[in-house]
Amino acid sequence: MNAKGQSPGTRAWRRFWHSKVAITGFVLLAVVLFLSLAAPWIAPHEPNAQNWFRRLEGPSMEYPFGTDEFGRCVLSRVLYGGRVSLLSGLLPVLFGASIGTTLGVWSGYAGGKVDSLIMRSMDVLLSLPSIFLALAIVGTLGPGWRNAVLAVSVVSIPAYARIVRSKTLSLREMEYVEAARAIGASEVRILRRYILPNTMSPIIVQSSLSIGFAILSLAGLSFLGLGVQPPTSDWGEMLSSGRRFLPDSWWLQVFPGLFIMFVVLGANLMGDGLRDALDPKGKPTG
Amino acid sequence: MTAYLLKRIITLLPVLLGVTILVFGIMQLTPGDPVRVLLGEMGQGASEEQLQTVRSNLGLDQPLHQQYWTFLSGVVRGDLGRSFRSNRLVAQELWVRFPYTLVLAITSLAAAVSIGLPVGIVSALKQNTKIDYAITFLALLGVSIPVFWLSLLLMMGLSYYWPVLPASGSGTWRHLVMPAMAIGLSSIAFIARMTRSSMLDVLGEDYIRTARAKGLRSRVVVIRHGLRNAAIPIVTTIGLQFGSLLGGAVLTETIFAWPGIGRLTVQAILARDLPVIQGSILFVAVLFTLINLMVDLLYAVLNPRIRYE
Repeated sequence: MNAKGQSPGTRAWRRFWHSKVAITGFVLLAVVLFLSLAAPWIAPHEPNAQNWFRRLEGPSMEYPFGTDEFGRCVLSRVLYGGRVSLLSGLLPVLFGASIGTTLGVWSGYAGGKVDSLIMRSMDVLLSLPSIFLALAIVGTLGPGWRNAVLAVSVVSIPAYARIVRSKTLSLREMEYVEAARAIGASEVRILRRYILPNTMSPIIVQSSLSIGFAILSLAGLSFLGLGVQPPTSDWGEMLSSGRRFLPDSWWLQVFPGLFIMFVVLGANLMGDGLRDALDPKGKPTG
Repeated sequence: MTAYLLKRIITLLPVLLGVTILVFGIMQLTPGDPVRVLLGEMGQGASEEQLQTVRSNLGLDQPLHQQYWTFLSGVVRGDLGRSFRSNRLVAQELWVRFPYTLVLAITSLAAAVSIGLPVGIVSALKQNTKIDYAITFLALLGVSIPVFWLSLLLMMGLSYYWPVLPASGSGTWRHLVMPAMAIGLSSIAFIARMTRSSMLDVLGEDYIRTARAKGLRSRVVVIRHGLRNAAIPIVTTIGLQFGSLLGGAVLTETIFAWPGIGRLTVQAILARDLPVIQGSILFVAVLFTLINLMVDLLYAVLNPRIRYE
Protein backbone atom coordinates (compact mmCIF):
# COMPACT_ATOMS: atom_id res chain seq x y z
CA MET A 1 0.00 0.00 0.00
CA ASN A 2 2.55 2.48 1.08
CA ALA A 3 5.19 1.27 -1.36
CA LYS A 4 7.18 4.48 -1.59
CA GLY A 5 7.26 4.84 2.17
CA GLN A 6 5.55 8.23 2.20
CA SER A 7 4.98 9.96 5.50
CA PRO A 8 1.32 10.69 6.29
CA GLY A 9 1.98 14.36 5.64
CA THR A 10 3.46 13.76 2.21
CA ARG A 11 0.65 11.40 1.35
CA ALA A 12 -2.02 13.91 2.34
CA TRP A 13 -0.19 16.63 0.39
CA ARG A 14 -0.09 14.45 -2.73
CA ARG A 15 -3.67 13.39 -2.37
CA PHE A 16 -4.72 17.01 -2.02
CA TRP A 17 -3.01 18.01 -5.26
CA HIS A 18 -4.46 15.00 -7.06
CA SER A 19 -8.02 15.93 -6.15
CA LYS A 20 -9.82 18.03 -8.74
CA VAL A 21 -12.24 19.21 -6.08
CA ALA A 22 -9.49 20.49 -3.83
CA ILE A 23 -7.61 22.21 -6.64
CA THR A 24 -10.74 23.90 -7.97
CA GLY A 25 -11.44 25.26 -4.50
CA PHE A 26 -7.88 26.38 -4.00
CA VAL A 27 -7.79 28.16 -7.37
CA LEU A 28 -11.11 29.93 -6.76
CA LEU A 29 -9.91 31.22 -3.39
CA ALA A 30 -6.49 32.15 -4.72
CA VAL A 31 -7.94 34.12 -7.64
CA VAL A 32 -10.30 36.15 -5.47
CA LEU A 33 -7.58 36.71 -2.88
CA PHE A 34 -5.19 37.89 -5.59
CA LEU A 35 -7.77 40.23 -7.11
CA SER A 36 -8.48 41.83 -3.74
CA LEU A 37 -4.85 42.20 -2.76
CA ALA A 38 -3.99 43.63 -6.17
CA ALA A 39 -6.96 46.03 -6.06
CA PRO A 40 -4.83 49.22 -5.95
CA TRP A 41 -3.13 48.21 -9.22
CA ILE A 42 -5.98 46.62 -11.16
CA ALA A 43 -9.08 48.53 -10.06
CA PRO A 44 -10.12 50.80 -12.95
CA HIS A 45 -11.28 53.64 -10.65
CA GLU A 46 -10.93 55.00 -7.15
CA PRO A 47 -13.45 52.95 -5.09
CA ASN A 48 -14.84 56.03 -3.36
CA ALA A 49 -14.64 58.48 -6.27
CA GLN A 50 -18.15 59.79 -6.92
CA ASN A 51 -19.32 60.90 -10.32
CA TRP A 52 -22.65 62.65 -10.14
CA PHE A 53 -23.19 62.45 -13.88
CA ARG A 54 -22.69 58.71 -14.16
CA ARG A 55 -25.08 57.41 -11.48
CA LEU A 56 -26.67 53.93 -11.68
CA GLU A 57 -25.25 53.08 -15.08
CA GLY A 58 -25.32 49.50 -16.30
CA PRO A 59 -22.13 47.59 -17.14
CA SER A 60 -20.03 49.16 -19.91
CA MET A 61 -16.45 49.09 -21.13
CA GLU A 62 -15.55 51.91 -18.79
CA TYR A 63 -17.50 50.51 -15.81
CA PRO A 64 -17.51 46.71 -16.32
CA PHE A 65 -19.81 46.12 -13.30
CA GLY A 66 -21.74 49.39 -13.69
CA THR A 67 -21.98 52.25 -11.21
CA ASP A 68 -23.87 52.76 -7.96
CA GLU A 69 -26.15 55.55 -6.74
CA PHE A 70 -23.17 57.88 -6.22
CA GLY A 71 -21.64 57.08 -9.59
CA ARG A 72 -18.93 54.96 -7.97
CA CYS A 73 -17.40 52.10 -9.93
CA VAL A 74 -18.91 48.82 -8.71
CA LEU A 75 -15.98 46.70 -9.96
CA SER A 76 -13.48 48.76 -7.99
CA ARG A 77 -15.69 48.65 -4.91
CA VAL A 78 -16.07 44.87 -5.21
CA LEU A 79 -12.28 44.48 -5.44
CA TYR A 80 -11.59 46.73 -2.45
CA GLY A 81 -14.57 45.36 -0.53
CA GLY A 82 -13.05 41.92 -0.96
CA ARG A 83 -10.20 42.92 1.32
CA VAL A 84 -12.65 43.57 4.16
CA SER A 85 -14.77 40.51 3.36
CA LEU A 86 -11.83 38.11 3.14
CA LEU A 87 -10.25 39.46 6.30
CA SER A 88 -13.64 39.08 7.98
CA GLY A 89 -13.64 35.47 6.90
CA LEU A 90 -10.15 34.71 8.13
CA LEU A 91 -10.06 36.49 11.50
CA PRO A 92 -12.92 34.57 13.15
CA VAL A 93 -11.40 31.30 11.95
CA LEU A 94 -8.06 32.29 13.45
CA PHE A 95 -9.60 33.38 16.77
CA GLY A 96 -12.10 30.54 16.90
CA ALA A 97 -9.48 27.92 16.12
CA SER A 98 -6.90 29.13 18.62
CA ILE A 99 -9.31 29.65 21.52
CA GLY A 100 -11.34 26.54 20.70
CA THR A 101 -8.22 24.37 20.42
CA THR A 102 -6.84 25.64 23.70
CA LEU A 103 -10.13 24.96 25.46
CA GLY A 104 -10.46 21.56 23.82
CA VAL A 105 -6.97 20.38 24.76
CA TRP A 106 -7.33 21.75 28.26
CA SER A 107 -10.70 20.12 28.69
CA GLY A 108 -9.65 16.74 27.34
CA TYR A 109 -6.34 16.68 29.15
CA ALA A 110 -7.45 17.97 32.53
CA GLY A 111 -10.68 16.00 32.73
CA GLY A 112 -12.86 16.19 35.83
CA LYS A 113 -14.47 19.46 36.87
CA VAL A 114 -12.53 21.61 34.40
CA ASP A 115 -13.71 19.37 31.60
CA SER A 116 -17.36 19.54 32.65
CA LEU A 117 -17.24 23.28 33.13
CA ILE A 118 -15.69 23.94 29.71
CA MET A 119 -17.88 21.50 27.83
CA ARG A 120 -21.11 22.67 29.49
CA SER A 121 -20.19 26.24 28.52
CA MET A 122 -19.72 25.05 24.95
CA ASP A 123 -23.16 23.40 25.14
CA VAL A 124 -24.60 26.74 26.16
CA LEU A 125 -23.06 28.40 23.11
CA LEU A 126 -24.38 25.58 20.95
CA SER A 127 -27.88 25.96 22.31
CA LEU A 128 -28.57 28.71 19.80
CA PRO A 129 -28.44 28.50 16.01
CA SER A 130 -25.07 30.01 15.09
CA ILE A 131 -26.29 32.99 13.06
CA PHE A 132 -28.77 33.78 15.81
CA LEU A 133 -26.09 33.74 18.48
CA ALA A 134 -23.88 36.01 16.38
CA LEU A 135 -26.82 38.34 15.91
CA ALA A 136 -27.54 38.34 19.63
CA ILE A 137 -23.94 39.25 20.48
CA VAL A 138 -23.66 42.06 17.95
CA GLY A 139 -27.13 43.17 18.86
CA THR A 140 -26.20 43.76 22.47
CA LEU A 141 -22.64 45.01 21.97
CA GLY A 142 -23.76 47.37 19.24
CA PRO A 143 -23.15 47.37 15.47
CA GLY A 144 -19.68 47.63 13.94
CA TRP A 145 -17.06 45.56 12.21
CA ARG A 146 -15.09 44.72 15.34
CA ASN A 147 -18.10 43.51 17.27
CA ALA A 148 -19.29 41.50 14.27
CA VAL A 149 -15.92 39.75 13.94
CA LEU A 150 -15.91 39.12 17.68
CA ALA A 151 -19.41 37.64 17.52
CA VAL A 152 -18.61 35.26 14.67
CA SER A 153 -15.38 34.26 16.43
CA VAL A 154 -17.24 33.34 19.61
CA VAL A 155 -19.73 31.36 17.58
CA SER A 156 -16.92 29.36 15.93
CA ILE A 157 -15.25 28.30 19.19
CA PRO A 158 -17.43 25.32 20.29
CA ALA A 159 -16.92 23.28 17.12
CA TYR A 160 -13.13 23.36 17.59
CA ALA A 161 -13.33 22.73 21.32
CA ARG A 162 -15.47 19.63 20.81
CA ILE A 163 -13.38 18.17 18.01
CA VAL A 164 -10.07 18.78 19.77
CA ARG A 165 -11.36 17.51 23.12
CA SER A 166 -12.48 14.17 21.72
CA LYS A 167 -9.21 13.80 19.84
CA THR A 168 -7.24 14.65 22.98
CA LEU A 169 -9.19 12.12 25.03
CA SER A 170 -8.19 9.32 22.71
CA LEU A 171 -4.61 10.54 22.29
CA ARG A 172 -4.11 10.77 26.05
CA GLU A 173 -4.48 7.01 26.30
CA MET A 174 -2.00 6.25 23.51
CA GLU A 175 1.02 4.16 24.35
CA TYR A 176 3.49 6.71 23.04
CA VAL A 177 2.05 9.32 25.37
CA GLU A 178 2.36 6.94 28.26
CA ALA A 179 5.91 6.16 27.17
CA ALA A 180 6.77 9.84 27.05
CA ARG A 181 5.37 10.30 30.53
CA ALA A 182 7.32 7.26 31.75
CA ILE A 183 10.64 8.74 30.61
CA GLY A 184 9.77 11.90 32.51
CA ALA A 185 8.61 14.30 29.80
CA SER A 186 6.90 17.37 31.24
CA GLU A 187 3.18 17.92 30.68
CA VAL A 188 3.92 20.90 28.47
CA ARG A 189 6.25 18.83 26.33
CA ILE A 190 3.70 16.02 26.03
CA LEU A 191 1.05 18.50 24.93
CA ARG A 192 3.31 20.28 22.46
CA ARG A 193 5.13 17.28 21.07
CA TYR A 194 2.54 14.48 21.10
CA ILE A 195 -0.98 15.80 21.52
CA LEU A 196 -1.25 19.05 19.57
CA PRO A 197 0.39 17.89 16.31
CA ASN A 198 -2.03 14.98 16.15
CA THR A 199 -5.07 17.22 16.49
CA MET A 200 -3.96 19.31 13.51
CA SER A 201 -5.76 17.55 10.69
CA PRO A 202 -9.32 17.87 12.03
CA ILE A 203 -8.51 21.49 12.93
CA ILE A 204 -7.37 22.20 9.38
CA VAL A 205 -10.50 20.67 7.89
CA GLN A 206 -12.79 22.49 10.32
CA SER A 207 -10.98 25.78 9.60
CA SER A 208 -11.37 25.59 5.90
CA LEU A 209 -15.05 24.74 6.25
CA SER A 210 -15.62 27.57 8.71
CA ILE A 211 -14.11 30.20 6.40
CA GLY A 212 -17.23 29.88 4.30
CA PHE A 213 -19.45 30.13 7.35
CA ALA A 214 -17.60 33.18 8.65
CA ILE A 215 -17.79 35.03 5.33
CA LEU A 216 -21.49 34.27 4.97
CA SER A 217 -22.25 35.32 8.55
CA LEU A 218 -20.32 38.56 8.35
CA ALA A 219 -21.84 39.41 4.99
CA GLY A 220 -25.23 38.72 6.55
CA LEU A 221 -24.52 40.95 9.54
CA SER A 222 -23.28 43.73 7.24
CA PHE A 223 -26.40 43.26 5.16
CA LEU A 224 -28.51 43.94 8.26
CA GLY A 225 -26.44 47.06 8.91
CA LEU A 226 -24.74 45.50 11.96
CA GLY A 227 -21.33 44.83 10.40
CA VAL A 228 -19.03 47.32 8.63
CA GLN A 229 -20.23 50.88 8.77
CA PRO A 230 -20.03 53.32 5.83
CA PRO A 231 -17.85 54.66 4.31
CA THR A 232 -16.05 51.31 4.69
CA SER A 233 -17.73 48.72 2.58
CA ASP A 234 -17.77 44.98 2.14
CA TRP A 235 -19.79 42.73 -0.12
CA GLY A 236 -22.65 42.37 2.36
CA GLU A 237 -22.94 46.11 2.82
CA MET A 238 -22.90 46.61 -0.97
CA LEU A 239 -25.79 44.18 -1.35
CA SER A 240 -27.67 45.95 1.38
CA SER A 241 -27.29 49.45 -0.01
CA GLY A 242 -27.97 48.26 -3.56
CA ARG A 243 -31.25 46.72 -2.49
CA ARG A 244 -33.09 50.02 -2.75
CA PHE A 245 -32.38 50.14 -6.48
CA LEU A 246 -33.96 46.82 -7.33
CA PRO A 247 -35.06 45.63 -9.80
CA ASP A 248 -33.67 48.14 -12.31
CA SER A 249 -30.08 48.26 -11.14
CA TRP A 250 -29.54 44.49 -11.01
CA TRP A 251 -25.77 44.85 -11.33
CA LEU A 252 -25.60 46.22 -7.78
CA GLN A 253 -26.90 42.84 -6.56
CA VAL A 254 -25.44 40.34 -8.94
CA PHE A 255 -21.70 41.09 -8.80
CA PRO A 256 -21.03 41.38 -5.05
CA GLY A 257 -23.22 38.33 -4.48
CA LEU A 258 -21.32 36.29 -7.06
CA PHE A 259 -18.06 37.12 -5.33
CA ILE A 260 -19.38 35.98 -1.96
CA MET A 261 -20.59 32.77 -3.56
CA PHE A 262 -17.28 32.08 -5.32
CA VAL A 263 -15.27 32.53 -2.15
CA VAL A 264 -17.58 30.39 -0.04
CA LEU A 265 -17.74 27.73 -2.75
CA GLY A 266 -13.94 27.78 -2.99
CA ALA A 267 -13.55 27.38 0.77
CA ASN A 268 -16.08 24.54 0.89
CA LEU A 269 -14.48 22.71 -2.03
CA MET A 270 -11.09 23.06 -0.43
CA GLY A 271 -12.49 21.82 2.87
CA ASP A 272 -14.00 18.74 1.22
CA GLY A 273 -10.71 18.08 -0.56
CA LEU A 274 -8.70 18.50 2.64
CA ARG A 275 -10.99 16.17 4.54
CA ASP A 276 -10.48 13.45 1.95
CA ALA A 277 -6.75 14.10 1.77
CA LEU A 278 -6.24 13.99 5.54
CA ASP A 279 -8.45 10.96 6.12
CA PRO A 280 -6.02 8.25 7.30
CA LYS A 281 -8.35 5.59 5.94
CA GLY A 282 -8.31 7.19 2.48
CA LYS A 283 -6.71 5.58 -0.53
CA PRO A 284 -3.11 6.56 -1.28
CA THR A 285 -2.49 8.01 -4.71
CA GLY A 286 0.61 7.36 -6.75
CA MET B 1 -36.89 4.44 27.57
CA THR B 2 -38.45 6.55 30.33
CA ALA B 3 -35.24 6.36 32.32
CA TYR B 4 -33.29 7.47 29.27
CA LEU B 5 -35.69 10.34 28.68
CA LEU B 6 -35.39 11.51 32.28
CA LYS B 7 -31.62 11.33 32.16
CA ARG B 8 -31.52 13.44 29.02
CA ILE B 9 -33.88 16.03 30.46
CA ILE B 10 -31.81 16.33 33.63
CA THR B 11 -28.64 16.99 31.62
CA LEU B 12 -30.49 19.80 29.84
CA LEU B 13 -31.21 21.78 32.98
CA PRO B 14 -27.66 23.08 33.58
CA VAL B 15 -27.44 24.04 29.91
CA LEU B 16 -30.66 26.03 30.08
CA LEU B 17 -29.50 27.64 33.30
CA GLY B 18 -26.28 28.48 31.45
CA VAL B 19 -28.32 30.14 28.71
CA THR B 20 -29.99 32.43 31.23
CA ILE B 21 -26.56 33.36 32.60
CA LEU B 22 -25.31 33.97 29.06
CA VAL B 23 -28.27 36.20 28.21
CA PHE B 24 -28.04 38.08 31.51
CA GLY B 25 -24.30 38.36 31.01
CA ILE B 26 -24.40 39.83 27.51
CA MET B 27 -26.96 42.34 28.65
CA GLN B 28 -24.49 43.56 31.28
CA LEU B 29 -21.99 44.16 28.46
CA THR B 30 -24.37 46.47 26.64
CA PRO B 31 -22.61 49.80 26.28
CA GLY B 32 -24.31 52.81 27.79
CA ASP B 33 -26.88 53.19 30.51
CA PRO B 34 -29.91 50.94 29.93
CA VAL B 35 -32.14 53.56 31.49
CA ARG B 36 -31.06 56.10 28.89
CA VAL B 37 -31.64 53.50 26.18
CA LEU B 38 -35.12 52.90 27.58
CA LEU B 39 -35.99 56.58 27.74
CA GLY B 40 -34.51 57.25 24.32
CA GLU B 41 -34.71 60.92 23.35
CA MET B 42 -36.89 61.72 26.32
CA GLY B 43 -33.97 60.78 28.51
CA GLN B 44 -31.73 63.51 27.09
CA GLY B 45 -33.01 66.25 29.37
CA ALA B 46 -33.71 64.06 32.38
CA SER B 47 -32.03 64.96 35.64
CA GLU B 48 -29.85 62.48 37.48
CA GLU B 49 -32.56 62.28 40.14
CA GLN B 50 -35.22 61.27 37.63
CA LEU B 51 -32.90 58.67 36.13
CA GLN B 52 -32.32 57.32 39.61
CA THR B 53 -36.07 56.93 40.13
CA VAL B 54 -36.48 54.96 36.92
CA ARG B 55 -33.47 52.85 37.86
CA SER B 56 -34.88 51.90 41.23
CA ASN B 57 -38.30 51.22 39.68
CA LEU B 58 -36.67 48.74 37.34
CA GLY B 59 -34.57 47.25 40.12
CA LEU B 60 -31.36 48.28 38.34
CA ASP B 61 -29.88 49.69 41.56
CA GLN B 62 -29.87 46.23 43.14
CA PRO B 63 -26.65 44.20 43.35
CA LEU B 64 -25.94 42.04 40.30
CA HIS B 65 -26.80 38.66 41.83
CA GLN B 66 -30.08 40.10 43.10
CA GLN B 67 -30.88 41.34 39.60
CA TYR B 68 -30.06 37.95 38.11
CA TRP B 69 -32.30 36.26 40.65
CA THR B 70 -35.21 38.58 39.81
CA PHE B 71 -34.58 37.97 36.12
CA LEU B 72 -34.41 34.20 36.55
CA SER B 73 -37.51 33.93 38.66
CA GLY B 74 -39.33 36.03 36.05
CA VAL B 75 -38.14 33.74 33.26
CA VAL B 76 -39.28 30.63 35.11
CA ARG B 77 -42.74 32.14 35.52
CA GLY B 78 -42.81 33.08 31.83
CA ASP B 79 -42.47 36.78 32.61
CA LEU B 80 -39.98 38.24 30.14
CA GLY B 81 -40.71 41.87 30.88
CA ARG B 82 -42.18 44.52 28.61
CA SER B 83 -40.93 45.86 25.30
CA PHE B 84 -39.25 49.27 25.59
CA ARG B 85 -40.82 50.20 22.28
CA SER B 86 -44.40 48.94 22.33
CA ASN B 87 -44.76 48.41 26.09
CA ARG B 88 -46.40 45.07 25.30
CA LEU B 89 -45.43 41.92 27.18
CA VAL B 90 -42.42 40.31 25.53
CA ALA B 91 -43.87 36.83 26.01
CA GLN B 92 -47.04 37.89 24.23
CA GLU B 93 -45.05 39.50 21.43
CA LEU B 94 -43.11 36.24 20.92
CA TRP B 95 -46.26 34.17 21.05
CA VAL B 96 -47.85 36.21 18.26
CA ARG B 97 -44.77 35.89 16.04
CA PHE B 98 -43.96 32.25 16.66
CA PRO B 99 -46.64 30.63 14.43
CA TYR B 100 -45.22 32.49 11.41
CA THR B 101 -41.73 31.19 12.03
CA LEU B 102 -43.06 27.71 12.67
CA VAL B 103 -45.08 27.60 9.45
CA LEU B 104 -42.11 28.85 7.45
CA ALA B 105 -39.76 26.31 9.03
CA ILE B 106 -42.12 23.37 8.58
CA THR B 107 -42.89 24.23 4.96
CA SER B 108 -39.29 24.62 3.95
CA LEU B 109 -38.18 21.55 5.87
CA ALA B 110 -40.93 19.42 4.32
CA ALA B 111 -39.87 20.58 0.88
CA ALA B 112 -36.21 20.05 1.72
CA VAL B 113 -36.73 16.49 2.96
CA SER B 114 -38.92 15.48 0.05
CA ILE B 115 -36.33 16.75 -2.42
CA GLY B 116 -33.05 16.26 -0.58
CA LEU B 117 -33.59 12.68 0.49
CA PRO B 118 -34.39 11.10 -2.91
CA VAL B 119 -31.73 13.22 -4.60
CA GLY B 120 -29.13 12.05 -2.09
CA ILE B 121 -30.14 8.41 -2.56
CA VAL B 122 -29.94 8.68 -6.35
CA SER B 123 -26.56 10.31 -6.05
CA ALA B 124 -25.27 7.46 -3.87
CA LEU B 125 -26.70 4.75 -6.12
CA LYS B 126 -25.13 6.34 -9.19
CA GLN B 127 -21.83 7.06 -7.47
CA ASN B 128 -19.15 8.53 -9.76
CA THR B 129 -21.48 9.00 -12.72
CA LYS B 130 -22.35 12.29 -14.37
CA ILE B 131 -25.61 12.47 -12.42
CA ASP B 132 -23.72 12.06 -9.14
CA TYR B 133 -21.21 14.75 -10.05
CA ALA B 134 -23.98 17.13 -11.09
CA ILE B 135 -25.91 16.55 -7.86
CA THR B 136 -22.81 16.85 -5.70
CA PHE B 137 -21.83 20.10 -7.38
CA LEU B 138 -25.32 21.58 -7.13
CA ALA B 139 -25.51 20.60 -3.47
CA LEU B 140 -22.21 22.30 -2.80
CA LEU B 141 -23.44 25.38 -4.63
CA GLY B 142 -26.58 25.26 -2.50
CA VAL B 143 -24.63 25.46 0.75
CA SER B 144 -22.41 28.22 -0.62
CA ILE B 145 -25.06 30.68 -1.79
CA PRO B 146 -25.70 33.48 0.70
CA VAL B 147 -29.35 33.06 1.72
CA PHE B 148 -30.06 36.77 1.68
CA TRP B 149 -28.64 37.07 -1.81
CA LEU B 150 -30.73 34.16 -3.03
CA SER B 151 -33.76 35.82 -1.45
CA LEU B 152 -33.09 39.02 -3.36
CA LEU B 153 -32.51 37.18 -6.64
CA LEU B 154 -35.76 35.26 -6.19
CA MET B 155 -37.58 38.48 -5.45
CA MET B 156 -36.08 40.11 -8.52
CA GLY B 157 -37.03 37.15 -10.70
CA LEU B 158 -40.43 36.14 -9.36
CA SER B 159 -41.87 39.48 -8.30
CA TYR B 160 -40.46 41.97 -10.78
CA TYR B 161 -39.31 40.43 -14.04
CA TRP B 162 -41.90 37.66 -14.00
CA PRO B 163 -44.42 38.86 -11.44
CA VAL B 164 -46.08 35.70 -10.14
CA LEU B 165 -45.51 36.05 -6.37
CA PRO B 166 -45.84 38.94 -3.91
CA ALA B 167 -42.48 40.46 -2.96
CA SER B 168 -43.13 40.70 0.75
CA GLY B 169 -45.64 40.45 3.56
CA SER B 170 -47.75 37.58 4.79
CA GLY B 171 -51.30 36.33 4.76
CA THR B 172 -51.68 33.89 1.90
CA TRP B 173 -49.77 30.77 0.86
CA ARG B 174 -48.35 32.76 -2.04
CA HIS B 175 -46.45 34.92 0.44
CA LEU B 176 -44.92 31.78 1.86
CA VAL B 177 -43.46 30.35 -1.34
CA MET B 178 -40.41 32.56 -1.86
CA PRO B 179 -39.14 32.71 1.73
CA ALA B 180 -39.59 28.94 2.00
CA MET B 181 -37.66 28.44 -1.25
CA ALA B 182 -34.88 30.75 -0.14
CA ILE B 183 -34.24 29.08 3.20
CA GLY B 184 -35.16 25.61 1.99
CA LEU B 185 -32.49 25.48 -0.70
CA SER B 186 -29.55 25.18 1.65
CA SER B 187 -31.45 22.57 3.68
CA ILE B 188 -32.02 20.53 0.53
CA ALA B 189 -28.31 20.70 -0.10
CA PHE B 190 -27.34 19.70 3.45
CA ILE B 191 -29.80 16.81 3.52
CA ALA B 192 -28.76 15.56 0.07
CA ARG B 193 -25.06 15.66 1.01
CA MET B 194 -25.60 13.80 4.25
CA THR B 195 -27.91 11.23 2.65
CA ARG B 196 -25.41 10.56 -0.09
CA SER B 197 -22.46 10.03 2.22
CA SER B 198 -24.26 7.89 4.79
CA MET B 199 -25.90 5.78 2.07
CA LEU B 200 -22.48 5.22 0.51
CA ASP B 201 -21.17 3.99 3.87
CA VAL B 202 -24.00 1.50 4.13
CA LEU B 203 -24.35 0.31 0.54
CA GLY B 204 -20.95 -1.36 0.61
CA GLU B 205 -21.92 -3.59 3.55
CA ASP B 206 -22.25 -7.35 3.32
CA TYR B 207 -25.89 -7.43 4.33
CA ILE B 208 -26.76 -5.33 1.30
CA ARG B 209 -25.03 -7.84 -0.93
CA THR B 210 -26.85 -10.66 0.86
CA ALA B 211 -30.18 -8.91 0.38
CA ARG B 212 -29.48 -8.46 -3.30
CA ALA B 213 -28.25 -12.03 -3.64
CA LYS B 214 -31.43 -13.46 -2.25
CA GLY B 215 -33.24 -11.71 -5.06
CA LEU B 216 -35.02 -8.88 -3.25
CA ARG B 217 -36.25 -6.06 -5.40
CA SER B 218 -33.86 -3.18 -5.65
CA ARG B 219 -36.31 -0.76 -4.07
CA VAL B 220 -36.70 -2.96 -1.01
CA VAL B 221 -32.94 -3.36 -0.65
CA VAL B 222 -32.30 0.37 -0.92
CA ILE B 223 -35.06 1.49 1.38
CA ARG B 224 -35.42 -1.23 3.98
CA HIS B 225 -31.84 -2.41 4.18
CA GLY B 226 -29.98 0.68 3.07
CA LEU B 227 -31.86 3.76 4.17
CA ARG B 228 -32.89 2.38 7.53
CA ASN B 229 -29.31 1.71 8.50
CA ALA B 230 -28.14 5.02 7.12
CA ALA B 231 -30.88 6.88 8.97
CA ILE B 232 -29.12 8.16 12.09
CA PRO B 233 -26.84 10.79 10.53
CA ILE B 234 -29.63 11.79 8.16
CA VAL B 235 -32.10 12.25 11.00
CA THR B 236 -29.52 14.32 12.87
CA THR B 237 -29.05 16.58 9.88
CA ILE B 238 -32.79 17.00 9.43
CA GLY B 239 -33.25 17.78 13.12
CA LEU B 240 -30.43 20.30 13.17
CA GLN B 241 -31.79 21.89 10.01
CA PHE B 242 -35.18 22.26 11.63
CA GLY B 243 -33.58 23.92 14.63
CA SER B 244 -31.62 26.35 12.54
CA LEU B 245 -34.61 27.07 10.31
CA LEU B 246 -36.57 28.09 13.40
CA GLY B 247 -33.93 30.47 14.65
CA GLY B 248 -31.85 31.11 11.59
CA ALA B 249 -34.39 32.50 9.16
CA VAL B 250 -33.41 35.93 10.43
CA LEU B 251 -32.23 37.36 7.11
CA THR B 252 -34.94 35.79 4.98
CA GLU B 253 -37.70 36.93 7.32
CA THR B 254 -36.27 40.44 7.27
CA ILE B 255 -36.05 40.62 3.49
CA PHE B 256 -39.53 39.28 2.82
CA ALA B 257 -41.05 41.20 5.75
CA TRP B 258 -42.26 37.89 7.16
CA PRO B 259 -43.46 38.67 10.70
CA GLY B 260 -41.64 35.86 12.52
CA ILE B 261 -39.25 35.66 15.45
CA GLY B 262 -36.21 36.44 13.30
CA ARG B 263 -37.61 39.70 12.06
CA LEU B 264 -38.79 40.60 15.55
CA THR B 265 -35.24 40.11 16.82
CA VAL B 266 -33.67 42.20 14.09
CA GLN B 267 -36.17 44.99 14.66
CA ALA B 268 -35.51 44.84 18.39
CA ILE B 269 -31.75 45.01 17.82
CA LEU B 270 -32.02 48.00 15.50
CA ALA B 271 -34.28 49.76 18.01
CA ARG B 272 -32.13 48.64 20.99
CA ASP B 273 -35.22 47.14 22.59
CA LEU B 274 -33.31 45.12 25.19
CA PRO B 275 -36.14 43.11 26.79
CA VAL B 276 -37.29 41.87 23.39
CA ILE B 277 -33.72 40.93 22.37
CA GLN B 278 -33.30 39.10 25.66
CA GLY B 279 -36.66 37.35 25.35
CA SER B 280 -36.17 36.16 21.81
CA ILE B 281 -32.69 34.78 22.54
CA LEU B 282 -34.09 32.78 25.45
CA PHE B 283 -37.06 31.63 23.44
CA VAL B 284 -34.97 30.42 20.50
CA ALA B 285 -32.49 28.74 22.84
CA VAL B 286 -35.20 26.77 24.60
CA LEU B 287 -36.78 25.82 21.28
CA PHE B 288 -33.46 24.76 19.76
CA THR B 289 -32.56 22.74 22.85
CA LEU B 290 -35.91 20.95 22.83
CA ILE B 291 -35.53 20.05 19.16
CA ASN B 292 -32.06 18.68 19.80
CA LEU B 293 -33.55 16.64 22.65
CA MET B 294 -36.16 15.24 20.28
CA VAL B 295 -33.45 14.32 17.79
CA ASP B 296 -31.60 12.51 20.56
CA LEU B 297 -34.73 10.61 21.52
CA LEU B 298 -35.30 9.66 17.92
CA TYR B 299 -31.80 8.16 17.88
CA ALA B 300 -32.73 5.97 20.78
CA VAL B 301 -35.77 4.79 18.87
CA LEU B 302 -33.73 4.12 15.73
CA ASN B 303 -30.81 2.53 17.49
CA PRO B 304 -31.71 0.65 20.70
CA ARG B 305 -28.03 0.29 21.62
CA ILE B 306 -27.88 3.99 22.54
CA ARG B 307 -30.49 3.53 25.29
CA TYR B 308 -28.37 1.10 27.20
CA GLU B 309 -25.10 2.94 27.18
